[in-house]
Amino acid sequence: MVFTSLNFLIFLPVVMLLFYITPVKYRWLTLLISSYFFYINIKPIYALLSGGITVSTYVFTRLIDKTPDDNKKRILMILNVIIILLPLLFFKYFAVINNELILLLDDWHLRWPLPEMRYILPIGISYYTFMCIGYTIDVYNEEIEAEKNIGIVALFVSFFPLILSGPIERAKNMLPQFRDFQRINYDDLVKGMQLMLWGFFMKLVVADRIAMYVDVVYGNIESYSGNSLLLAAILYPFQVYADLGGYSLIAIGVSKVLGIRVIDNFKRPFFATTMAEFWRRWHISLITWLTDYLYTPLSFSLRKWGLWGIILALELTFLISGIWHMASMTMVVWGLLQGTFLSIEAVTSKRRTKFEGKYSLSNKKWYMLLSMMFTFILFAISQVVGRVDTVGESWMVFRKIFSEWGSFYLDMTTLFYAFIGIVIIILKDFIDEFFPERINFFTNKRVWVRYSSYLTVAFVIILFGVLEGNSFIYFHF
Amino acid sequence: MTAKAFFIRGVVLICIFFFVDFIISLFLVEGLKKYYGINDSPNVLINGSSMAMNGFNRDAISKRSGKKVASYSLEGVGLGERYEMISHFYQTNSNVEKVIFEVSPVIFESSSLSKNIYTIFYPFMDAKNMDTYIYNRAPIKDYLVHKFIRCSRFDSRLMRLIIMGFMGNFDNMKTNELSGDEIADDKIGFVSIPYDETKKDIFGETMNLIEANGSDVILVMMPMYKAKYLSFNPNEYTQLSDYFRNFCLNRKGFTFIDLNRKELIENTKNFSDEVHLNVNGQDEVTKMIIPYLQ
Repeated sequence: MVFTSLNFLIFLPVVMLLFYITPVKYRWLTLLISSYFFYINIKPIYALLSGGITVSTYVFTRLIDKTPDDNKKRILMILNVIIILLPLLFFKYFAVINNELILLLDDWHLRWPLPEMRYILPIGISYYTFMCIGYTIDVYNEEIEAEKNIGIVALFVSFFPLILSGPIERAKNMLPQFRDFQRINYDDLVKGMQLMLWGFFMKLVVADRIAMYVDVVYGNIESYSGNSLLLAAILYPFQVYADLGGYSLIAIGVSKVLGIRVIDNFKRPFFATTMAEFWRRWHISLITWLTDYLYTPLSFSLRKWGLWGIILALELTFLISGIWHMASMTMVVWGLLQGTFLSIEAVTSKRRTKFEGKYSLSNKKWYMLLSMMFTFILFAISQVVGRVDTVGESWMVFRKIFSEWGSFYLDMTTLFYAFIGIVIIILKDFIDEFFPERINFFTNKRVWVRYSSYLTVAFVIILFGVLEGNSFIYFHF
Repeated sequence: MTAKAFFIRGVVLICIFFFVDFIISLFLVEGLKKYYGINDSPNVLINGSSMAMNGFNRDAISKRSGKKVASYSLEGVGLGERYEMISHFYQTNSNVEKVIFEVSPVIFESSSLSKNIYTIFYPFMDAKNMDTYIYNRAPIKDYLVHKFIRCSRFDSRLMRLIIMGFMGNFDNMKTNELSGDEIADDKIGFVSIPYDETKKDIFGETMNLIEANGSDVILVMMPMYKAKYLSFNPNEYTQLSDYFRNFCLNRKGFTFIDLNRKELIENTKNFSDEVHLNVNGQDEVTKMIIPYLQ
């Protein structure tokens, strides 16, 4: 059951009804049962895995909380992190490494003792694993107390709006909300539905439409000319934004209609003027998680190396981010590229600020626009590597873009709708970025403007959306 | 906001949604009917699949013959679907003098249709026969969604046709010419012509339906590129042609034309692929069909 399926549109109102007729004290139970129903509906075996991780997290966090000895606490924390990571490592990396070794040794006429493994990665495992690790570390650092009710921990791990693709939430934000549900707030209900509506627009009208072009071109790189590949490379970042951004808005909106506040995952990323700013706006929940639990401790421990310590911490953080996305060499290169871009920015930061100050560039619109475009280009380059199957293919894409221009693959209908969709998204982000209070549709004081906006977006989704139940890109991660 | 205000506003919004949905869908259906030409009491109906869609220039036929022409052809349809289309057509059109009915060597093929072929009829599901057709094939959830949310019956592909309908643009958009790469020259042996009895019965029922509505019929064997044409078993092809010829001989007002003529099928400039005519081929075929409409 994905958010864009008809089943979900039936499931959600039923859950909302059950949730709001349940006494406040037991609402966590309604949500827990609904979440497990939602997850079991995808594949029952997945629920066993998330259940196991829940039990481990619950037991270990309780033990960490009760143990006065710091060393024991540390061992318990590390032990739980390892236990939680094991399923992720097995499903995401072990099978891939094993199969690669079979192929490699086969080339040398050698036999690997294990058979080839074909496991499907349990959807959402990367997300709830990170959430549980974060919770364990927070309890260890005494930032929060361990939750005493295992049901609440289970709900934190399996909360259905977030389990498939995040946002990667923190226990300190979620657990208090699950312990003490607020009374129904109709403004939140309206706001949640607005977010869902816009999320559906981003996913169904924009992301899935762009996918119709990008998937065709990237599906057969050898057959397409450099200009077609260039267009696909430009479109793909918009596709990912509309896909994961749309998913996140639906997840946040669904949470909101149930009275739960969830952190934002995107903040108009294509208006970032540097890569550092871009990563403060893109997949925020993942990046803040990586910053808090990886980059900050790493850069702290490497601080004696000065700038090189920061560079190393950046490279390692984004390398792990890449590997978190997928066990492939392309994602390793993707991570290293991000780390390199950020490192170069860090190294040149002082000089750049001085240069910008000297010519008063920071306030100049053309300079901001150029910076935004440059940031977008850097991200698009890294996304080429992230999108293809092998590093060799990414090289082929770049080579063709720079040297093999030929017949342009133009699926005019698809491109027309995709272009309109991108313009609408960018326009909305532009208004939110620069005129947040001046122009608004969903939050307009006039009822007729709000209703007209809702209906327009709804009918655009129905008439121009790709309503074929396509999966979300980040389900694969 | 209070609970009462929330629910009142919710109900009002839902009511407005269904009202707007109804109005927009009426507008879109009108555009689609204009595209097919089935809203204007046409004198001539062209019915078929993609071969007929690309094969006949509705405007040119109309101008040269002086008759109103409808081209109610859909990509990927089989005989069963075409029976429903013609039945649907006659529900609102009674002045049809002639029906140009596309036939091809694969017309009696048993099962080559996509499983969700019923989706092409969603825009017309207000018609009883279309509604029944969809109800019997679509999953109940899909059926209900399309029944109650009328705009969901349309998609972006249809939008193009609707705009073309309102603009009166019925041109064949295929301007490319068949290239050597697209011609399969490694065929081994002949392709057998399928002959499913059930399909033959449906064909007979369709002809009876047209006859009962007082229209004459022109069965047109649509042209295909030489390599494709020659790939079919020649004896079976002759048998099929004879079947159509005899069928027409036994019925008053029925004519059979085989357009697989040398001058047409040997020229790559007439085809966009092995079975579909491009704009040049369409022009040739249109010229050939005009005398039969006088």
